[in-house]
Amino acid sequence: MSDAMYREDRPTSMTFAEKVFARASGVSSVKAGEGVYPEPELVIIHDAYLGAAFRELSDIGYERITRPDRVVAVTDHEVLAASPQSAVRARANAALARKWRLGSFYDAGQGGHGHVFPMEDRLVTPGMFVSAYDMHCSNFGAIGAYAMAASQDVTVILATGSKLTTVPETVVVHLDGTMQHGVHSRDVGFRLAHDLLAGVHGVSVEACVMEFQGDAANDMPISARIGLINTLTEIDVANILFPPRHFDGAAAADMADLPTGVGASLRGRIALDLGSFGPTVALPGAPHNAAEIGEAAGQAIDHAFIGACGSSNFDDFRAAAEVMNGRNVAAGVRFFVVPGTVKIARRMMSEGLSQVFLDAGAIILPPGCGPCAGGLMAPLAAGEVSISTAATNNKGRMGSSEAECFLASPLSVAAAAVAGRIIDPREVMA
Amino acid sequence: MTAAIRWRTSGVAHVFGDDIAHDNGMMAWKHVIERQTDPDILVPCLFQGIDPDFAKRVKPGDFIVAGKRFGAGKPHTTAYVAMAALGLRVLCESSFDKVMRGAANLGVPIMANCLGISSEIRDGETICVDMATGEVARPDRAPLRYPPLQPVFQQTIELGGRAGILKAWLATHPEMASAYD
Repeated sequence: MSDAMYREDRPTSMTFAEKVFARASGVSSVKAGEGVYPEPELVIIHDAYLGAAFRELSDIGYERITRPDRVVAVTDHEVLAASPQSAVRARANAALARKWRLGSFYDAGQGGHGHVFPMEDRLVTPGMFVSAYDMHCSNFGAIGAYAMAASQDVTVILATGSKLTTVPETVVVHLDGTMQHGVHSRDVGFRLAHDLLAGVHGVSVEACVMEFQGDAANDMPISARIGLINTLTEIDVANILFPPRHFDGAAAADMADLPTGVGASLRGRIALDLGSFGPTVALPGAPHNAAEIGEAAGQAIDHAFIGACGSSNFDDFRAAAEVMNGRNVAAGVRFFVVPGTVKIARRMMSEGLSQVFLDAGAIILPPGCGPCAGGLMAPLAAGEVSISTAATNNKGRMGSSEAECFLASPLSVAAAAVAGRIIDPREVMA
Repeated sequence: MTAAIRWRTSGVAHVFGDDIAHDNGMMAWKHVIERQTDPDILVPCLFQGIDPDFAKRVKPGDFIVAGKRFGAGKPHTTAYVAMAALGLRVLCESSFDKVMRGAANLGVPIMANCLGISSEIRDGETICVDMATGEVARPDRAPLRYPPLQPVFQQTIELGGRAGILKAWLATHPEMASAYD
C-alpha cells in the first residue's frame, strides 16, 4: 500500500531513521515529515494485550491477518498466573496463537521478556524495522534496530501489514567521556529525560528519534545502552537508536553505514559528557522526575526490585551483586530479582549469581516484567515505598495507588536493598 | 467511508490544570489494567481521580479545557472510550503525539497548542469551538484563535478512527473475513 512518489529535492544523505523507513516502505528514500506505509519485518505483542488485539479484529469480522508468520506473541506480563482468571487468559492466548497461525508463541517459561529475548535469540537484528504493541520495544534501538511502538494501532498492522506513519525527525546526541565510579546509564537517562523536558538542551525531542553517536555511545555495552534507552522512552520520543551491534557485543559490520552521516537534515544536536553525571533517582510520578540521590537518601523502603525491560541483563545483576558484596537484604525489605530472559536466568544459575542473591535473602522471580507489569506480581500495599529499575513509576504502577515508587540504577537499588533505605551506592561500594 | 464531522460545536467548558494524567487522573487504574471498554461502566468514572463530581456535571458535547501536558504518563486510552461516548472534545496548551493519536483513533479530537487557554476560559461557561479553524468563541469576550486540530487527526476521526480504518480494509479485502484455508 505504499504510494510515496519520487521527488527531486530528496536529501543526498538520510538519517538512520530515514534509511530504515525508506527500506521498510519499499522506496529509495524518504525524509522526515513524510507519510509512509512501512512494513514491519516482525510484530511483537505481549500476553496482556494479545487477547484485546484479536478480539478487536474478530469483532469487526476478521478471520485472518495479512502476515501471521511475522507475528511473535510473548508471555512476559503475567508469567505466573496469579489467579484462576489469569490462568484462563493464558490458555486463551495459546489457543489464539494457534487459531490465527501466529509465527511464534512464547508461552510462560519460554523466551522471557519480549523486549529482551528477541535480541538475544537474533529474532531482532541490527538494522531491522520491527513493530510492537508496547512502547518499551524502544529497547531494540540498543542494537540499532528500529522498533515502532504501535500501541493499539497494532491491530491496523496485523490486519493490513502496515500503517500510515510520519517519518520522524532526528536529534543526534553525541556522547563523550566515561561514567564515574558508582554511576550507571540509568542515572544519565533520568537526568537527561528531566533536562530535555525542562528545555536545558534547547532542543525538543518530542516525537523525534534520539540517535546516540560518538565513541562513548559506540563502546557502551548493550546492557548500559538498554538502561539509557529505557529511562528516556516515556518522554514522548519516537525512538532511540545506538550504532548497530549485536546483543552479544559482536560488530554488525554490514550495518556500518546506517547511522546518520553528515549532510542529513536534523532537528538538532546535543553533546554530553558522561563523566558529568552522578547517581540519580526518579522521584515517584515519572522517570523524568530526576533528583540527585542525596535528595532522597534516608528514605526507608519496603520493596526493591532489579529487572524489567530496562535492567534485566546479566551485567545488571552482576553489578548489583558486587554492590551487595556479601551483605544481606535489610530486615523488612522484600527484594525481587527478575532476570530478563530464560537464558540470562540460566547463566545466573551456572555462574553462581543466583546463589549470591538467594544467600542474601532476595527472591528470584521468573523471567519477564516482574512487578513492573502493573503490579500483577509482587505488588505494593498502601503506604509502602519501593525502589526499582522498573520502566516507569506513575501512581499505582506497582499495586496500590497509595504506594510510592522510586526508580534508580541497579547499583542504587542493590545498595538500598541492603541498607533498608535509599543511599548513595558509592557509600556502600568498596 | 468518510463521515461528515461537524467541527464547529458548542458546549460547556470544564477547566482543568496542567499534567492531567490518564492513569488514575482521567481514569481509574483498575479499569485501565482490566482494559474495560464498556462506556456504561467508564463514563461514571471519568476524571474521578481529579474531580469526583465530574460525571454528574458533564453533558454530551462538552469541552475539556486543560493546561500543559494533557494525558501525561502512559498513553493509555481507556478514558477516551468514555469521552467518545459523550462526544467530548479537548482543548489544551500541550499534549503528546501518542496521546493525540490514541484519542483520535477513538474519535476524540485533542486540539493542542492553545497557549494560555486554561486561564482564558472560565469553568462552566459555554464556548463555541471550530476545530477546523481553531477559533474559540466565549461569552462577553473577544474570540480566541489557536492552531486548528492537526489535519492528520481530523482525517483519522473522519475515517472513523481505527475501527473505521479496519472496517474499510475488510470491505476491500473480503478474503480476510474467511478462516485460513
